[in-house]
Amino acid sequence: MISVSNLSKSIIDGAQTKSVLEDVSFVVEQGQSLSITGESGAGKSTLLHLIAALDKPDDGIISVNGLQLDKTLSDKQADSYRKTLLGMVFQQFNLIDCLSVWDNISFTARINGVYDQDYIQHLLEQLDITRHQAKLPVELSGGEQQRVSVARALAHRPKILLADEPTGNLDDKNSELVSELLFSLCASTSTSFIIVTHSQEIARKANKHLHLSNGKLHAID
Amino acid sequence: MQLTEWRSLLRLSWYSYKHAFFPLLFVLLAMLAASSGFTTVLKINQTAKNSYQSANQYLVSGVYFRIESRHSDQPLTKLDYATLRRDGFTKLVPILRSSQRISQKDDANPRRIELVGIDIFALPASSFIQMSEGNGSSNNADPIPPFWQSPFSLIAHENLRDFLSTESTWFLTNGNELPQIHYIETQELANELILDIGALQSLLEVEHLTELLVVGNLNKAEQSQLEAALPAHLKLSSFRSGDDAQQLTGSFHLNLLAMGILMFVVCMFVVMNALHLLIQRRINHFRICRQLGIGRQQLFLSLAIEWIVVSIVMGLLGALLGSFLAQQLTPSVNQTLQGLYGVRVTYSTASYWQYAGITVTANVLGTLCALSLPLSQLNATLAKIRNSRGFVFRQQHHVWFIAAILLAIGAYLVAVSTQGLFFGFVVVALVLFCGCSLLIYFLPILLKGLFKLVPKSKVMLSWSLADSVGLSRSSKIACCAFFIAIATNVGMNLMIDSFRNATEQWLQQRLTANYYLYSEDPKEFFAALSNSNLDVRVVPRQTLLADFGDAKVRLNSYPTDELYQDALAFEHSQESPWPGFVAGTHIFISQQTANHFDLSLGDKVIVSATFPSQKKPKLFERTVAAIYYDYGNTEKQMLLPQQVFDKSVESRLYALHVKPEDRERFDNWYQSIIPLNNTNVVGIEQLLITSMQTFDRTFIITGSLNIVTLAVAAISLITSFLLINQGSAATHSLIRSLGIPNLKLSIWILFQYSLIILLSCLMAIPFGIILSWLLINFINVQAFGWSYPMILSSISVFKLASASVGLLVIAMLIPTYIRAKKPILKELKWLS
Amino acid sequence: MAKLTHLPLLALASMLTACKPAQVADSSENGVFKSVSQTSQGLKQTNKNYEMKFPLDHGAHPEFGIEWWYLTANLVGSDGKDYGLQWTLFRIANPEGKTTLWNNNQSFMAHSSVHGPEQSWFEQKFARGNVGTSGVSIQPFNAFIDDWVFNASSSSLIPASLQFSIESDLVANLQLSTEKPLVLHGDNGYSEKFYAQDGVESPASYYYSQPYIEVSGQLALPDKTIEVSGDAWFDHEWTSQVLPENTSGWDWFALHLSKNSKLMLARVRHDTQADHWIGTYISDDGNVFPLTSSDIKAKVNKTEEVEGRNLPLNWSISVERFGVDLETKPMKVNQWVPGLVAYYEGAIEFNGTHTGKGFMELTGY
Repeated sequence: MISVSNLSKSIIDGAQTKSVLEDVSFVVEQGQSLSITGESGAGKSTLLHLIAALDKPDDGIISVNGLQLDKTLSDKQADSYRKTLLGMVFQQFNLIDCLSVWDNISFTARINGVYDQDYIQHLLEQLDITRHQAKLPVELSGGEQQRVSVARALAHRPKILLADEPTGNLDDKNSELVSELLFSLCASTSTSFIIVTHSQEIARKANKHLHLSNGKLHAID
Repeated sequence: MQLTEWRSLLRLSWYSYKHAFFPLLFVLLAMLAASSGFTTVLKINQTAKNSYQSANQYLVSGVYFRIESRHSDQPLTKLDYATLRRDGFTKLVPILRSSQRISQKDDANPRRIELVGIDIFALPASSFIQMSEGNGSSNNADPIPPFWQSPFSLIAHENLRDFLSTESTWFLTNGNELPQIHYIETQELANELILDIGALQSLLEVEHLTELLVVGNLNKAEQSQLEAALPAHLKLSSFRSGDDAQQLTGSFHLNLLAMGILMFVVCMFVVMNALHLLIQRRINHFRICRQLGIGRQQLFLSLAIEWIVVSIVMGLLGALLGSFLAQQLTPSVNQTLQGLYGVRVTYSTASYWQYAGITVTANVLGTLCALSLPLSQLNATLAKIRNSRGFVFRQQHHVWFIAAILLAIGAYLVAVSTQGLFFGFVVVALVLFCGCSLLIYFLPILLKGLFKLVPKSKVMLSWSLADSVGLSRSSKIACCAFFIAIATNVGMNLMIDSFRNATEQWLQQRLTANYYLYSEDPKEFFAALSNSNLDVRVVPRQTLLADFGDAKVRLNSYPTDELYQDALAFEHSQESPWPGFVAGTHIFISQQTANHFDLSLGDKVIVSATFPSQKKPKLFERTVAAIYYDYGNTEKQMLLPQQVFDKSVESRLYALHVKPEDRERFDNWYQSIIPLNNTNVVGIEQLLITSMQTFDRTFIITGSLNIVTLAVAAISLITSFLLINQGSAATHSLIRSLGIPNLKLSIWILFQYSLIILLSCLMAIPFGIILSWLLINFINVQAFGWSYPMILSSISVFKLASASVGLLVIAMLIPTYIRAKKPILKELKWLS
Repeated sequence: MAKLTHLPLLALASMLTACKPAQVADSSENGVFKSVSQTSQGLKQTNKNYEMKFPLDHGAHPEFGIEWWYLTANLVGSDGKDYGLQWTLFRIANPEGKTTLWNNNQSFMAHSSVHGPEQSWFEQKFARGNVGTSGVSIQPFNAFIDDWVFNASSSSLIPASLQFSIESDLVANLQLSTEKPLVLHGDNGYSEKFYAQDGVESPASYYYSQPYIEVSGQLALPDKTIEVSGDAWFDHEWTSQVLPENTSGWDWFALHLSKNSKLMLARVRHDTQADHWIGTYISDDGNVFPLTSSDIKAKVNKTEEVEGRNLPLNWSISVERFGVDLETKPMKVNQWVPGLVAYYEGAIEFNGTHTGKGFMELTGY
């Protein structure tokens, strides 16, 4: 479960301090999905970075399965959290271009010592990229690459999957395919799933939909 | 394209450099290093060449001949000089020369310098007037102070100021104080102190002269006339002509030029690498320019113009810096040339624009060549040429292997089918480029091989090896520069170590006596020795210039007792060469003599020599029984038994055999009789030390150039890695986002670089060994006519390699540490 | 007459040695000649009471600052042309100079020049004392520098031979003879150069001549050899005292009035005061008459530009007391001596009460 309480974050923009998130609170149960929309600069990516322990909040608490992600969290704890509990999918596919598809997918799983060949095979089949497993990322199309990054994010069975505009660089067809796969895989693996998206259509697929505007969160449904 | 468009394009370039400061700085520094190193070498060589051609001796120009005594028993005197002038040979200038050790009060470090006394009244009237009126003796020279007037003074070239330290008074070994030294800039002085001849005679307490310079060239008839007028104890000999001196020292200058070119080439590699990185950093600018409608050709032309202008400016600056460096190095170089070849080298000047022109041209051409590869890659990028990476890689990659084979074949063909030092260096260049091609070919293959060997469970090791394959390709130019520098250093160091070892062993074997006496007039010494009750065996080294066909060789005496038989090290010899040598049927020749005249064991030689006591030349018909080592000697030499030489044959060098138990007595006795004029006794220990010190000094310049080249290549490699590292920021950010701690990631990145450095170094070592073999057995033989055994010192190689790799890795720790401290948030932008 | 030409060689001495005049000479000709108005310290001075003794005094006097042995000759060649010849050996002493194993404190300089109608030849030489390349001896008399040799057959000055070469262009081989005695100038050889001023005696030298020399010999040129003959005049002078201050130079004449009568005149030019003439008239019967300023009247008739200088080349000279009234002109205009010390030394012709040839020397222009 992810619990966000009274989260606030400011950034220094030149000579001014700008409030990016203001008193944001929400809960995502285990296995649930949450979509976050908002205009550019609303604070969506910042929120995701805070949940991913890539940054620290000014105020408030993020609690993930009992682990408090606040100012006191050490780098070591953050690294461990990201390695074991978290999976991330980015807008830029960010595959390691010198490793094959298989090696990319199994990277985090191997680091965690939870490498499961069968599970990875299953993910490949689910994502329809089995035939590409020996190829290098540069040999794949954009949609295929993003599917590989989805597989990598799930290969170590994380508790949480964060996706920051995962379909931003894809065409409509691939966007639909990838988003559908994300939601279904997370549901099937009881992985909490938070997705930041511009697409209302994709946002509606989630269990919950929140809208960020000027750092404040509004529930949509 | 209109002028405003050009200006916009160039202005864009200028602004973009703010964001690519380090690559830009590196290009400029590399160009500066290339052109200054090249200029240094050019200027040193050109000023030496000007000196050889100038026919100048001790402020007297147009001197090609000299008159000197045949034997130290009957020296050249003032009366000889006056008689010749009164006989109508008026273009004679008397000179007294003496190499002296001078020291300051309470100074334990005496220096050796040549003192030259001259009578300026003997100069041609116009030269005399010019000098006496205080004008320089050549254009653009400082006025020459009236050193011939009382109180007498000395003149020396400005470059000797540091060596002689103007504040102090100098003393000769006989206790006489040297006059004040005036330093002047003139092309006609070498490493010497010039003073009035009378003043020098008084200082040295001698009355004889060394030589009479003959001003003006003599035709055959004039030579004969002068020779006929000379008394029996004098002879007319020629100075080395400018062409002779150039030929004699050609190998030294070619070696220096080769080092300069090597440094230039390595720096151009660095320039190529940095230009590539500069272009990559600005790739988006170029893309935007293309989108805005600026053609590729215009872009390339603007880049070319930009870099031609920069290379001209850096070339001129480098020429200035190189000129200054050459000036600093010239005293050592002159001393080396004088010591090695016996040529007098003055501080001639060379026109700045002459070598600046060459340097700038080389810089521009080198830069354009260096720019060609990055531009072709830019062209491919802008034209969006996409190929299957694996396939293209494989296809292009084999080209390097084919190139390596072709270069190896080329090197072999040039080696077997050509003669001459220049082609020797061509072979060396081909071998090095062959090595570079093999490095480029094998390095990624080796890394990929390692990647395949490592189990996938070692995730970070596996990733770092996989990533290093691409890294090695991106940094191949820098790796090549580093490879060449390591190979050259290994090769040169092995060569020098082998040479040093051979020289030391040869000296230890050959120098059998405890002391060696050098004297132009040893009568006083031997008189004192006979009055002492010391039992000293004196072995003179008698020497005679002889004719061998059209050439001259030096015949030296050699004792034939067992001690001396053991001392002579042969390269090749017949079985039992000594009986025939003693009996007078066989002869020993030096290695360089054998190589020069293409002589082997068993060949018959006929040598003709005129002994001073005889009027007709004597013929020696002998069979070559042995070829002996004679390292460092530029003369062609042959040995005959001591008994062949009669007393009339000159000897200035004597071996003194003192019983070990008498050595202390001998030392005390010698201290009690010095100072003696022009006589010096050196103990074997000191002789060995001095010889090896001289040896080491000879290689200082090449050693320094090697180190600079290695440093340049190493810095280039580090900078390449750092800049390529920035290009891998996205991957590194991703790995960090996946939970790998920053320190761990940084260590693995350091591992990648260290591995590439290590593999490059390991691949360079065998080529360094090949290079060393080429230098010893090919280059050295072509240049000097002799070679020596090559010693492969694994410790030496290991030390150099580990030092180079170790220092590089240590140097990389700093950026690694800085990287490790970077917060992850700063890297997140690469993920978006 | 004193060969005042050579007194500026004290300035030369300052160039060759460390002895510098108190007033430093500038590099111009005028400066050089001006600078001779100084006294050299540490050298022997001339004395009115000195009696010349020969052959001893033919030799060198190293204790004096400057000395010269000077020959001028008016020659006629077998080619029908006139030749003016000069041969001079100078000795300069440097009292502060150090004697070494090589040389002593003496220096030598020599000039040889020959002027023909179309061509001129000149060479100068330098040497140091005690080296053996230059010197003067008296038994027999021999003055030499390298292979330039004035060699008498005895301790008498004449008969003698003179051999010298000028570069590789001319070789002179001359025989000198005479039957006449030497001429002592001034007061038995004590020759004052100026008049006394402010109670200070005039500088003086020891000066004698042999003006009655008959010359025969050859001038060998690269393409021909010319037999020559004519009259020559030999001077020997030595001193340590130089001219008074503010004198800029002198004009000197040596004239062969006839076979037996000779005339020597010299004008010392002063910057601010009146010029001073001295001279010697030798009559047909061999009597020697010193001349004073009042005896001599001279006027410049023509000035010509030679080597950038305006030189008084044509003169009217009269010595009424002895019935001499002459107009002189140079054999040719340019007879410049381009030595370290440069001056005009050339053959002249004269007519009037007498017709003949001689030599003229102009310095300080």
